[in-house]
Amino acid sequence: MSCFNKASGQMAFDTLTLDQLEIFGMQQDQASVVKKTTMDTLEMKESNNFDLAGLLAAFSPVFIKSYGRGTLATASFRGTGASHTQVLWNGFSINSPMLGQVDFSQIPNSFFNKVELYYGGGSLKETGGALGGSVMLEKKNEWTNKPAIDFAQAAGSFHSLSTTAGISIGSKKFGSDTRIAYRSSKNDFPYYNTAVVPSHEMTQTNANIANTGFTQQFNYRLNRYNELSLTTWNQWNYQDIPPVMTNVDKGGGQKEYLKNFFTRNTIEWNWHKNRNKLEVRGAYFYEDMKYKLQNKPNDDSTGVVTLIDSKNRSESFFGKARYSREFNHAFILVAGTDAVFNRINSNNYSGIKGRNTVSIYTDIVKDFKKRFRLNLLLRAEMADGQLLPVMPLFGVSYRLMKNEQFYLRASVSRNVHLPTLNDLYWSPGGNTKLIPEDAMETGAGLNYRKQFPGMTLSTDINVYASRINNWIQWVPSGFQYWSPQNIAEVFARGLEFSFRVQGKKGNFRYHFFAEYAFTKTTNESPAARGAGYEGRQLIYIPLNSANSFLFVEYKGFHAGWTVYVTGKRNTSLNNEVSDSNTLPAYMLNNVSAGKSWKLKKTRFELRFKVNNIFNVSYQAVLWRAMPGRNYELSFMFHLN
Amino acid sequence: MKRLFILFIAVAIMAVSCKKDNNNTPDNSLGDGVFVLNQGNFNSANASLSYFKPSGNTITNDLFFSVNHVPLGDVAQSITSLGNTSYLVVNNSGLVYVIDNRTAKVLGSITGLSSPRYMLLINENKAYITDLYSTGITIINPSTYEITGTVDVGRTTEEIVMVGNKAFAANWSAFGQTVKNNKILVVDTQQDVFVDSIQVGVEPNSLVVDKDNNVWVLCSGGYDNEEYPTLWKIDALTHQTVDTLTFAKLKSSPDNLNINGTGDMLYFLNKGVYQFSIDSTALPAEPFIKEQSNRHFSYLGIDPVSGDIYASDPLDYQLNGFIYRFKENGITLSKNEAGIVPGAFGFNYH
Repeated sequence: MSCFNKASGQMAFDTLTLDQLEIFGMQQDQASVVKKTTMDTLEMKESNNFDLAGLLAAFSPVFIKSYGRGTLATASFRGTGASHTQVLWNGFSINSPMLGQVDFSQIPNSFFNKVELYYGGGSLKETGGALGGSVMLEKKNEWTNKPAIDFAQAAGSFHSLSTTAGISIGSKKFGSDTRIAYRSSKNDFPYYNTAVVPSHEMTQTNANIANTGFTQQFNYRLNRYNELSLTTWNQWNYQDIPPVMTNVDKGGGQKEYLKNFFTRNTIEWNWHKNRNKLEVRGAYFYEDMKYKLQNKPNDDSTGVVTLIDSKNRSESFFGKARYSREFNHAFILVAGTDAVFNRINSNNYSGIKGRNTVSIYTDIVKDFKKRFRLNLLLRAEMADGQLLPVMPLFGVSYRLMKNEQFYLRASVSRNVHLPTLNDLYWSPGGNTKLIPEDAMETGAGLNYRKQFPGMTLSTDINVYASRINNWIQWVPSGFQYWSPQNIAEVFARGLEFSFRVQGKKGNFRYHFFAEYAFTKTTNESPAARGAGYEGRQLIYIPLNSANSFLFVEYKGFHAGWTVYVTGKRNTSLNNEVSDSNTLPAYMLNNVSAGKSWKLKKTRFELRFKVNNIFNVSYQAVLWRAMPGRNYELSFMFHLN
Repeated sequence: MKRLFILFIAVAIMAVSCKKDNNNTPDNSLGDGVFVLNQGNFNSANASLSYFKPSGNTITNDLFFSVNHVPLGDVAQSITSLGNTSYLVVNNSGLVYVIDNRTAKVLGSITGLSSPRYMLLINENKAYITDLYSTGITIINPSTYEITGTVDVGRTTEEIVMVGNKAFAANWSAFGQTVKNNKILVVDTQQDVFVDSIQVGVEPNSLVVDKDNNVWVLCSGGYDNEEYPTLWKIDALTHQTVDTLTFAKLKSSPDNLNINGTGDMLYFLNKGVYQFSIDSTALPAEPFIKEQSNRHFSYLGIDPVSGDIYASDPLDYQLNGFIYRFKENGITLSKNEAGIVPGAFGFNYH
């Protein structure tokens, strides 16, 4: 490889093995024409083992809307909706085909060692429909004959326990990785309820959660050119739905909960020879989701009446193929196809419903004079035989200074998002006449990275604007139920800034990360103009948000400090701004301290964490109780 | 420094004296007017209370929060008043707030209800509360705010009216029941026992009592339009159907049956406000007050004294809605912005 290639991670994959190729792919980020970030391993460690939501909230500009500790948390990128965030595991969407969204509170971080985020149109590289962005989850195989064992046990406030364990064995030819994760919490945290008369101290009720899951991955290298892998992810989740703060004095012994089981299985074959790479993948996902609302028919009764018994089973079959070829050191061509078949059996739909989508895409990256890059991507998709508008992405990047890792990038794209199956088939109200949401997106950014002896710093600033037409909203129909319509026209624009510095001096190691996001997102439709709220920020998306993280380590002692700042949010679109339709800004501080020991091949670590150390009383969603100061003690060991 | 200190003292005294003034709230600060219960959205706890004064066409929003410093709750369903007291039924909060209707100050609350919908005052010591989840009507004491018992009626209940010693409650919802939701359940209010059920159309959503003690029941025909909507006239003594009027359109959902103060003119909503004299033999073909492309009515109330017609427009159910006031002859008198999903109207005369 040339010197330039090493410095900037340019294309050169003729001599690399497959796993090296992936590493090379990550290094390429800086010259990328779109914004893409990779979660830092240290930052991943600082987050709770069972909370992808917490990880994203602390270390990305993605806004997490959390309904409470351990309960539903949805993610929105760049002022878009929760269903505009696609989560891909090994390249396959784990978004519920019914709801279109993912509950980020139910994803164990320990199952992955690679978390990547694509912002805006950049997500087209992996999937269509992610109008906001996408989150890519993966467990990379290490191809090592050194076995590794991980174990972590944590115990925290409010009867919270979590256990994660993993074992990897293998060789240069074979790899097996097994991980288990368990978490439970009663979530019986105290809080001061200011939503009832008289306001008083109370304990959160009906807030139990329990999750158990495991993954198993086998990797096999047949020969120099071929690799096979098989992965399964299985999980059982139970989640009580706690009452809103105004509803704590309700009678009837009401019980509301969600229970689900899923199995997600993938098979993958990779072939790589000279400058060609072919990946063929298949997957089968099954999910059984139950929602129940139960009540006693009357106070004297011991029986229970189930008022809502929602049973939903979904099956998804996926097929994917992607071929990449590098023609010379500065030209890469990628072509691929994806197919998805969803089948839903739900008592909320009349009959079995589903959707078949097939897409093809090509992605061309061409570098000029080792400084200028052009990237053109075209994605065409067909859903149930209907051809969607072509989704193109066009981007450029330019290395501004020859001797500095300083890049400018800009892109423009079109992306469409299909209605969810609930939008189409929910009974009553589902609207089969819906058309896809259609986004035009543009973004530009500057990226700078500098390596000093013992220190690396990087910074990124990005601006974007997107216009999403035919945005689907559920609105009252002429009958007694709501129905979705393509009525909103959303204009989302903003700025993201991040700064990271990490280094080492003797026994001292430090890591600092800070981020700020400005997100302005408004509905500019004629209906909104008519009602006079066209300039008003969409609900629950803060105009300003920021977070920072400081980590220091000295001879095995370490300390971390995370700060989250969430700005004021609207809870309704009314122009008249009052206490009742906005939620105030809040700042949360989490600190941790610990010590790690190395004993031959084993590393032990003890960590104590205090969340919300200043005991801030806040609401992320209107009148949903959140815990004050809470503690977590964890013990980890790693052997290899 | 000394001067600064004096200034500080002066400010402090002023602050204290101001505070005293504020405590002198007049007993009847609200005056005559109309309570508007803004339902808010289910599970969002954004219900609110507005107060409209027809004398100046003015409205005060967020009254409950500004007086009591707590939100009204989750889905404010209905209001029942007696003397200087009003009972606000907050459906998904499972409670009834009792307020002084001169000030909107909370006097107490009746808690521990499943999914309360409407309250019927029987006497000073007894009231019934219907319930969407429970198959029993809850008996409460409106003076002590205590639950004193239940009347098991076997079905969930919605609107409720009283004629003599009998309460008539509508089984509106099919939620959680396998039998058809087409009955009016009759309860003896002295013995607190379920005595009879009267078959009407599917989904009886509202009922009123006219001056001749007939019970009028409006049935939407089901949310999926299982049958034609119907209006029933029932003799309260015999429980016999006197008359049944069938609406012309299957795909319509008339609701919000109301009656004027003299008990001889019915009003209801069916994409517009309809007026119907109790002596008519046919349903009106045209609305008395029409909807417009940007005006859709969702709830209705008739001022028992002035005869003014109040209708609410919830817009998209997420923005603050509007309340309209019309004269008896249909002329628009006022339009005011209320809260999210303005619903029940409570007429407050002192």
